[in-house]
Order: sequence, then C-alpha cells, then structure tokens
Amino acid sequence: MANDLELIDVHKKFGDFVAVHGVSVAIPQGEFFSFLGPSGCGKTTILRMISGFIDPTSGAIKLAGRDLNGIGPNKRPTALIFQNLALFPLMSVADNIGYGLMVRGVSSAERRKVVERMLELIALRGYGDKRIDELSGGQKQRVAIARALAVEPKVLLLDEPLSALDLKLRQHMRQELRAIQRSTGVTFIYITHDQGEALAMSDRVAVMSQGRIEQVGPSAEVYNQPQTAFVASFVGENNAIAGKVAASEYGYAVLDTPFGRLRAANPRNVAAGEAALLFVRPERVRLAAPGANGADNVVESQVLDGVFEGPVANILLANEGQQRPITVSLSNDGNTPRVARGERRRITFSPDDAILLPPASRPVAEAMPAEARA
Amino acid sequence: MTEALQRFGYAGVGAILFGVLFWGALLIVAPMLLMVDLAFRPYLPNPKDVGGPLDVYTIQNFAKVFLDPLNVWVFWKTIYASILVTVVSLLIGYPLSYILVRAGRSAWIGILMIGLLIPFWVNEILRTFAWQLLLARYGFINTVLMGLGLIDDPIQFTNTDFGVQVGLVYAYILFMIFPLYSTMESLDPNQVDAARDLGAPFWRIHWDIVVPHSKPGIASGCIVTFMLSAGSYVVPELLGGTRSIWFTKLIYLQFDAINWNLGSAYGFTLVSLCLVFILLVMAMFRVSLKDIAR
Repeated sequence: MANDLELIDVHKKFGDFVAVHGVSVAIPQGEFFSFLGPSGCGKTTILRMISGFIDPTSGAIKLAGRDLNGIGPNKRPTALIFQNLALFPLMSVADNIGYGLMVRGVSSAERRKVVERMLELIALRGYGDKRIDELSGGQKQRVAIARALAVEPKVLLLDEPLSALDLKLRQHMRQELRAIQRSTGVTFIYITHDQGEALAMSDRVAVMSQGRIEQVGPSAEVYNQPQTAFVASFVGENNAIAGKVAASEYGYAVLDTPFGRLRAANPRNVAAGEAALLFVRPERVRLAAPGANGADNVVESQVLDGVFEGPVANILLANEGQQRPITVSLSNDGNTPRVARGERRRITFSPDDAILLPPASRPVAEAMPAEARA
Repeated sequence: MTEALQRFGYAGVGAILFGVLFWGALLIVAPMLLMVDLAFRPYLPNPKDVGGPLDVYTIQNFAKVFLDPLNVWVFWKTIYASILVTVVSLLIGYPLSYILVRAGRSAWIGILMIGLLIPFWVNEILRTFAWQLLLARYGFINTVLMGLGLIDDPIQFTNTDFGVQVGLVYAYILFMIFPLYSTMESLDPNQVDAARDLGAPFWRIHWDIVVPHSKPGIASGCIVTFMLSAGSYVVPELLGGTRSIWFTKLIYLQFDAINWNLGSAYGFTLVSLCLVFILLVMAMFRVSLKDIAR
C-alpha cells in the first residue's frame, strides 16, 4: 500500500555503544505495530529515528518507498506522542490541537473545523477553551492524540504514553487507542515495556533485546510460539526449566531436568547433548488427577506457596534445594482445588504446550528490569 | 503561618517578623521617605533655618530638575541608553542562555559557566578599568583593528555614549542571563521537540514555546538590567568621562554640593520613572509580581 513504512538494516551507535543493531521490519499502512522490550533495548531510539530527531548511523528508513534520511522532524509526515505528552501548558486545549495546523499556515476558520472534528473524535466536545491543567490524566492523553492526529500524519508514533496512568484508566485507554486507530486507519507504532499493553492492542509485535529484534509476529504467535528464550521469558509469565537434551526426534525432544525427564516441542531443533530451557506457561500446567498418566509430562513436587490473584490462583512448587519453582495457574472458576502448603502434588502438562529453546545469550533475569517484570 | 508557629513558637515568629520589619522599615522605607520629604523642601544654606519659617513644602526643586533643558536631555539619554543596554543584553543573553540550557550538563558547559562567573568575582571598578584599557585610544581594540589594516586612525570609544553602553552591557549582562537561564532550564525539552515534530520552524518554536515560558525570566532580567544601568555610577564615570554625563552623575553633583534637597529631587525623579518603566515592562509581558518572584 501507499504509505508502508520500512526499516532496512538500521543501525544506531552512540560512541561505542550500539543502541540499535541491524533492525529490519516492514510495517504496512494501517497496522497497529508495537516495539516491546525492556528499557535500554533500543526501542525509543528506533522511535526517535522514525520521527527524525536522530539519524541512523547506517541503514534506511523509508515511507512509501521514499528514504526519509535528512528530512527533519518538522518536515516528516510522522507525529510523535511523548511519554509525558508534552502538551503546551500555556495554550488552551483548542490551541494545542490546532498548533500543527497553525504553523503550517492553515487559516483559523479551517483550523477551527479540524479542532472541532478532533474534539469529537476524542469525545471532548466543548473542552476547547479549557486550560491543560484543568484536564484529568485520561483527558490529557486524548488531547495529545488529537494534537498529533490533527496534522494528518501518515504514521503516528507513541512513546509509552499510558505509563503514567493508573491501571483502570490504562486498560480503558488501550481500547480507546485501538478504536481511534481503527477509525482513522493511520499506522500506529507503539513503544512499550509493558507486554500486556503490546499484546492487547497490536496487530503485530516486535520483541526487542539489546538493540536487536528477537521476534516479530501477531500477539498470539509471539506469546504462544516464542522463538527465543528471551521472548519466552519476557512476554508473559513463563516457567523455565533448565536441562540437557537426552534425545531429539520428529520435532520433539526429551530433556533431563531436576524435575525428571520431560518432553517438549523442539522448534529450534536443539541437538541431543546440548543444554536447553523448557518453557511452559503456568496456565497450561494442571494439577494431575490421581492416577492420571498417558503421554503428558508428569512432575511430582512440594507446594511452596499459594498466591491468590483474583481471576487465577497461582501455586508454586519446588523440590528440596531447587532455586526456581514451577508456577501453576488455576482458573478461579469455582472449582479450584484446595492446596495446602508443604503438600506433595503431581502436576501435568502436554509436550505440545512445552517449548524447548536454546538458552539466552545472557541470563534471563538480567535481561528483565524490575519494572518490566512487574 | 500555622506551620511556622508550630515550628518556631510565638517568640520565634515574633523575632523573625520583627527582624524583617526592622530591616524593611528602618533601613529601606524610612530613608526613602526622608528623601521624599527632603525633595519637597527648599535648600537652606544656614542650618538654623531648617525647621524654621523658611522651611516650607515646595516643588521648586522639581521645577529646577525639569526646567533645565540639559537635565532633561541627560535624563532621557540615561533612560534611552538603559533601554538600549537592556535590549542588547537580552539579544545576547537569550541565545546564550538557550544554548547553555540545551547543551545540558556536559563538562564544557561547566567551564563556560565558570568562565561567565569568574569576571564577576572581580570588583566592578576593576572590570570597568579593564574595558578602559580595551577601548582606549591606543588600547587593545584600536591596536588590533589598525594592525589588521581595517582602520587608519584610532576610533574614539572612551568618553562616548557608545563606550558607556558597551561597558554597561558587560557589567550587567549576567543579571540578564541568570534569570533567563533558570526559567529556560525549567522548560521541558519535550515541549520544544513536540513543537518541532508538529512542524514548527525554528523561530516559531521560540516565539510560541520558549519565549512564553521564559517570560518571567525575560521580565525580571530586563528590569534588573535596566535598573542597574540607569542607576550605574561607576561605568559612566570611568568610560564616559566628562563627555558622556549620566543622570546619576547629576544626582551625585548635588549631594557633593551639599544641596541634599535638590539631590533628593533628582533621585526621586529617577526612581519614580524607573518604577514606571518596570510597570510598563510587566504590563507589556503580562507578568505579575508573583511570576517574577517565582
């Protein structure tokens, strides 16, 4: 389509530090695309390169086939929504929204029409004369979106704009952003370290670590079929069980672990004899019915703790001396079994729900800053 | 207030209030009122007449100030030159402050700031003498210009209004830069980036975002620079000599001639018109005293 955005082998170095390392991705017009990663992974640098505030060290950023290199941010058909919104506090809501048009020399009558339309879009009709500090957090958010959309950008860039809001409002704004994106058809590029936000809103997500894209795909694909240990552990909660591959055949592998022999899908074909991590989502692990067996993996272990979270109740199991417990998420559907601390329990999961991946190039815990894990 | 009472008690708050009032009333307000009183009474050479029947309220001192065309000319020249000095300081100080703020906290900026500050640790008289050396007939600037072959004869800088104005800009520009710097520093850099992202060219970013935000700093910098320039004695004395008389010199001459009454009238005139100027600037920039105090 006409306004596809393309990043071709983009590098960015700050002195010796490589912030972005060979990122290539094509984002078709009208897509809601997210860059997801911990702080310092290079996602903000990518955003600033697309908006034109910094230039790539090498590689190209193209919009509709045209190289944007050397075009300043004030001449680019992109608009950026800042993390702190950066609304102009000395201007009214209407002047904020109309600012981009004013500096383009659009007449005041025409401007007023666009501002009215924008206020309608963000459901803030009649707020034009208000001062910025009279608005609530969510209203400011929407004014920032209107201000950016008023200049009819081809690509709207969003730099974690929801991070300052409280949880309820954040969830509401997710839906609203998504609705605005659908109704305008503008390409949204969203930057976040919050995997819930990225999964909930995006058509596709690019998971980033240390300046590289680890995986690109639709939310469900990134969540269900992670291709690297980093993606598996960064996106959503996951159990990671370290072990050594004993045998590998037909896309499945047998892994020797502290919890015994476990079978798992082996999409990356980790060879026998090599170290690997087995990932299985807490919600795919079940408490085994007494005597149940069959083709599934079965682990017997001791209950360390139970954590009630509302929609789910998590149970943590580990054997004596084990660092990393296995978490089982039980749906709070009215039939949740009671589990006592210290009790020995058998848990089970299908080999199809378990994925074997080569260990990350660096420790997974280090790759996840505290705020990203929270 | 209640918090202050809790913390310091009635005695403590009383002591602080007394100190402030003492300072304000006795050391600032009282001499001013005394000066106003003096200005409206005639000069009586014989001290015995002070308080006697001859000591009546009159406006004859002000008549002397305003009826002498030379006085009026010097007065307006002082005001005009102070405005000029203020505008030039603003034109130099604004970009300089902006660059300093935007460059962030690098080591170079630290050195630059110290470079700006150190000359101001030196006494104002000495600094002005330095400019005398620079601007003198065969001083540094003329020597360099002649050495480069740009001029054949030395330019007369000292003993001119121009020399005084250069000296005043140098003497007081920091009082412009510091308030500008501190208001600009509080501007969120994202505001500038947001305006740029929305398509604003360079000058619009400044006109729409930076200047409105810095208005309190611009206003207080302008007021201080103007007041210091209009009230400067040393710089015109050293760089203007006998050829470029400043209004402060006229005030001084009256006090020197022991005519305190006429001197007070001169002083009162200058202070009042400077106050008018301050109010005008504040109205022009639409800032209140509260903004400036911030």
